[in-house]
Amino acid sequence: MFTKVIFGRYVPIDSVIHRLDPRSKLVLSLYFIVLVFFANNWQSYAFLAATTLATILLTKVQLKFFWEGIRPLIFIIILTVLLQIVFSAGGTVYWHWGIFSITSMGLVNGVYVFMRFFLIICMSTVLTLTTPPLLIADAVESLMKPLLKIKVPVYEIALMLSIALRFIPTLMDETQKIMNAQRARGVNFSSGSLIKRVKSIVPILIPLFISAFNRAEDLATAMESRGYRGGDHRSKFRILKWRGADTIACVGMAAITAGLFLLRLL
Amino acid sequence: MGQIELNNVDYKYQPDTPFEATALQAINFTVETGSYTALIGHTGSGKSTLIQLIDGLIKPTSGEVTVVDHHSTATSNSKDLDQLRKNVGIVFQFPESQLFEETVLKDIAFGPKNFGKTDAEATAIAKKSMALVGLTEDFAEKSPFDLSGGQMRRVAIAGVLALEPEILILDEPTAGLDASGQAQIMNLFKQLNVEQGITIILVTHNMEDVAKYANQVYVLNHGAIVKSGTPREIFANQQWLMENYLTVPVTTRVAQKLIDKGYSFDEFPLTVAELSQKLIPKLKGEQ
Repeated sequence: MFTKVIFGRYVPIDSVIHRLDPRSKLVLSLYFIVLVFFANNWQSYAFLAATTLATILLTKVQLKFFWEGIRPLIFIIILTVLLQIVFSAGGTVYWHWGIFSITSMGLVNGVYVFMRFFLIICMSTVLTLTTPPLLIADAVESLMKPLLKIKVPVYEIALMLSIALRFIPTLMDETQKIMNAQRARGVNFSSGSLIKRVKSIVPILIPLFISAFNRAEDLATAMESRGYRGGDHRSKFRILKWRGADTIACVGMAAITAGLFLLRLL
Repeated sequence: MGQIELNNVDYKYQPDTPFEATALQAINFTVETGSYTALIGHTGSGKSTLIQLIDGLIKPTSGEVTVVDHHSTATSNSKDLDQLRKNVGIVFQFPESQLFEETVLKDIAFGPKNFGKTDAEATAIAKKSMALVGLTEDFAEKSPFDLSGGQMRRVAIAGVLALEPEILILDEPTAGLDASGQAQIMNLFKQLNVEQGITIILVTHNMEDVAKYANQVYVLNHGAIVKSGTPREIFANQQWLMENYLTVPVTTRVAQKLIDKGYSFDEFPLTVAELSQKLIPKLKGEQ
């Protein structure tokens, strides 16, 4: 059931993008998201779309797979865009009914909003497709280190984040198992009235909560019995290393920024 | 034509993605009504996938699954699959994770109610199932979460038996139970098989159980059936089992050692009872 959506999943292959330091990937994709909001004409959107496409190609993930993965999200974007179109005013009015109207400005805005969402989703998918979740947690920890000075519990936050990320697949497996057991006992998740369907979630949620709490307790016991203490004195198994490729990626992003601001002048 | 028939079945996980993995290929599998079939093989050999196919929890990527007179193919919809499930009960690995109701009785009655029984009927069946698995009436109103591991397992098994299935699939039903609990549960299944003619498919790593209970064995390896036959045929070829890293029941190991030393058996012994029966006259004869 969860197999088609690739948003938020890691694909373990080897590519230039996979090998980048997770910190540079995290910062650059956040930076790109901000950058998208600076585009203001079709040339600049086309330019950003081209750079996004180039990045996707560099990840070596099949385009068809990538597209199928983000397609479910496209419908959500289109819904947002439709609302944007019928509620915004300005320019030539093509259609009008009560508070709804379709105008030339509305259409242009709609296309821009669509492009913004689409580019942001593509870039964040590139990040999660090429970076294992635990490395993203490591990157967050590393980037947040300066906050230790103002007493932010960085190590604890990072640990919570990595445990949460680590257990997503485990809990999904668990959900699948419990669903199978209940389906074998005659629960039908895909038919019946809405109330019946909502009710059929109870036999999944209760066992899932129980197993999650048991798991959490076991994990806490295991960590304590092995003497876990968070903080500065812990060494790391995965050491993040800034390489030449990361510098190149940053320079590339600077070039994209320059290109974008040139196109804004058109 | 058996009660369960798999015809050239393939199953792939997440086809057409980078995560694609073949779990089963070219499976031909027949189970006759009232038989006791054991399914053996390593972890990851496809045993769990195979039982999910039989219960219509998943549908084959290609080929056809037939259970009683219902079919599932790659193009089946969820309604067709529901039909398959009516005749089949599955005791999954660690089935106690399926418990969720407030009381033991309610949890056991959950399945029959889903399959259209009235509350009164379901409660009556639930009480009967409790007695079958050896739970006394005192347990009926207890919360399943206050019970011990072994008791929870019994409640979960009773919940499956309450479906009154014609076919019962058991996925390592005794894993994690103590020796006496294991024997009780396994004897219960054999009793259901003999007395009520329920077809049983047992997935297990325990070769003693295979030797003792099954009358047909399928060996799975890397998603394919590599060997099938009666337990006697399978265990007679110890060399082959060892080469495939499968263990052999202690009894047959003893028998093999005796054969190596020059003894001969007219029929290869499978269980302790058979072996001792064959040995006693020989020992007496030598005296």
